[in-house]
Amino acid sequence: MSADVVQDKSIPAWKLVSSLKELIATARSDRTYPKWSDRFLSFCERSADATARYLKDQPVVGDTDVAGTPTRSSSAIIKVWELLHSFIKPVLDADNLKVPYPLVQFLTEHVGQLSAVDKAKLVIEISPQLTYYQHQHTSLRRAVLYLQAIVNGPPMDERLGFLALPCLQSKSLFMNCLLYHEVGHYIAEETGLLSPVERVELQDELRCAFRQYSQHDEPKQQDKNLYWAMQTVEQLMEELFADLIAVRLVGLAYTLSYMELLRLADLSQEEFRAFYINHPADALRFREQLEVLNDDDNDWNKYAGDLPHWQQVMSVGSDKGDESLPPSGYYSVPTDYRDDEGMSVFWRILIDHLCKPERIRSIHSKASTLLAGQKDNPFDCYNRFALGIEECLSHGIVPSRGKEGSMPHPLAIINGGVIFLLSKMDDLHATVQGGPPAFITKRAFLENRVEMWCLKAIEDWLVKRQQVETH
Amino acid sequence: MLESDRRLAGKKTTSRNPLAPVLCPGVLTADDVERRLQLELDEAQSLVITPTPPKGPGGDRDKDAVDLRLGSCFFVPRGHRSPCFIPGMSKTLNLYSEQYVPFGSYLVLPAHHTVLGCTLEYIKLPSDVSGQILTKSSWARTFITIETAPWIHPLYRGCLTLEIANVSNAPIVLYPGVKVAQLVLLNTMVDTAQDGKDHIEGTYIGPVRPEPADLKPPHKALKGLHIEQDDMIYPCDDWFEHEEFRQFAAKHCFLYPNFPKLAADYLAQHGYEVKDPT
Repeated sequence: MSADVVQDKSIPAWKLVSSLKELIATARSDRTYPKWSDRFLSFCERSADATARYLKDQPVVGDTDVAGTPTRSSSAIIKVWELLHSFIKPVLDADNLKVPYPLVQFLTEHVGQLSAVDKAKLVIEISPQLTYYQHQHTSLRRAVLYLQAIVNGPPMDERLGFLALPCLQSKSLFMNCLLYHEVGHYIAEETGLLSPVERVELQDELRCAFRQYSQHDEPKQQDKNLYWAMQTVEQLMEELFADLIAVRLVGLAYTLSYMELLRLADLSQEEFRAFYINHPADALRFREQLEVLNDDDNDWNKYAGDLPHWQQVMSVGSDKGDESLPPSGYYSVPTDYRDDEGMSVFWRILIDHLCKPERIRSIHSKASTLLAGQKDNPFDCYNRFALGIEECLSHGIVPSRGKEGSMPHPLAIINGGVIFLLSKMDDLHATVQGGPPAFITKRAFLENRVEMWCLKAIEDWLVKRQQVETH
Repeated sequence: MLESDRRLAGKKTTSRNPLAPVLCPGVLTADDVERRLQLELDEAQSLVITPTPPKGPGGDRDKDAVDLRLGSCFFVPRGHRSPCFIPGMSKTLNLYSEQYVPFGSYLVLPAHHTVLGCTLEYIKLPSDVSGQILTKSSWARTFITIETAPWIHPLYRGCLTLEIANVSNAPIVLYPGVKVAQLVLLNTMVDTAQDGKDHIEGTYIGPVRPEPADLKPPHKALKGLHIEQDDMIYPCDDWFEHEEFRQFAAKHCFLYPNFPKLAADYLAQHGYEVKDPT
């Protein structure tokens, strides 16, 4: 192998890591980041240093390298850094001014205390779209281990997870409750939703169900169908699981923010019942959330009964029929597949399987087991501080003011803020003299204010807790 | 805290009820402060300071002032793209860039520079109390001043904006959370509340971080003096003296709907001949 060939791969690799390192260093000197984002960026910087050192010291002529040829390792390095780049850029965009910092800080601590994902470390990204998502991290961990072995780089923090929010929501409290759903996906990826035994059982069930419809297909095609069915059912289960985690962690605020999202999309009753390629019917999702929100430990109806959002959740998510679980026939197949007879049949099988009572129960049970040691129940927190929070917000005061020295818990503030936004804004609007003159601008101004007051109250709680811990 | 903010916050509360009892003005003591902190929010005479500032080592507060801490949001000055800043006309956000400094981290304030910061504490003043915010004397001895417009009107609510100036010759490090200011509360002669109930009013309602100034453009600010807009002189007027600029403006203003006529009229009023490029 000639020196030209070796250098051909090494030079672009060196240029790539150098540029990335410069990009990160510039951003970090200019802006501040949430704790784990900063740690991740710092790791990337140190890895870039190690990679650059490795490439610089690489022998010019190949063939003699023990760990494979230099050319091969340079190619691998480029691939790893390409993957790292897809994480670095959205993390760099999510500096402290672009994210609701107090909420992010609380969320990270909240999730980090769960025994199921002990010491979880959440890194925040800015999504290039208007959506929230969880950036899957398993492939990144593998790639980083590989890079570490090649270039003798630093280790990456364990249990890193990546959650993305849209840049428009930097100062929002209400919609950012959806981040808790992404936490659910993170937990699913960390813990594995199905055990190997459960996966085999599901596979057998689906194989049997599909057999009669695909018996004329080639065996290869049958395997493909089965693989697709497994992937889809697991994805749909994970969506339900993530909802249940969110609703258990943050309470009613999650369900209301999700309903707010759907109300913006202006869905019809029929659309609520339709499955989508990557998530179950919203009616089913709300039905399962209601199961948690109205269980023995919670009584959210007491506070949310009058909210239009809650009434809509109840109307689309309540049980239909006399059975304890509605028939899967209540839900419809994704719109895109309704005209395709074969796919409609397949989808119907999947929906039947997902809606089986034992399957749904297993998802509930998994979520409740994983959160068994959860310290703070959102309903209890809110129940304790509900009146104080409402009183503060209706007087234009940050709701960190507590009686007898106790400050409202962030879970109470989040739920209190969301309920206030949905029920008391008319009163606040009428009370405030001044502010922007037009109705819409004044209303938007006040809604922003309520969200900022709540975020400030969470920040105050974090400061106070820090003081207590220090003493 | 900008003087204009506070004036706006309380401007409608100054109408005096002739039947309201005249109060005895004076500085509120620690006991007065504590008593007002305990009042219900509905009561206009209630005082809110949240989070409640920690007490001293002996469990006491200052007898006549409340210490306030530095918050974590700052507006730092930045290079301006326009040749000058015209209050009320130029975009105020062009003056600053925002910075968030988490607790435990710091901001370096260069010598002879000023930044806008805010207090960690969110306050709501009673209807019969004005406030004055002062630099803590220990900080003043390091050539830091935190206020040039220190007055706060009754019923103001929000975190207080601080104009933190380093007038020393050395850069100074600021840590959010340190006590930098003290709030002195003074009884006013008269209670400005209507019916004794709390109410919210003003332009700057409840800021929790420094906010850019909301100033009127010069021609509106001078309306009381009956100066017409046509009589106003703006800093960029002399640009029109340059032939190149006139031609450039005449050519490019036609790209924007409704603008050509305004521009042509303006130029004509100033005695310039504009050729229609179309």
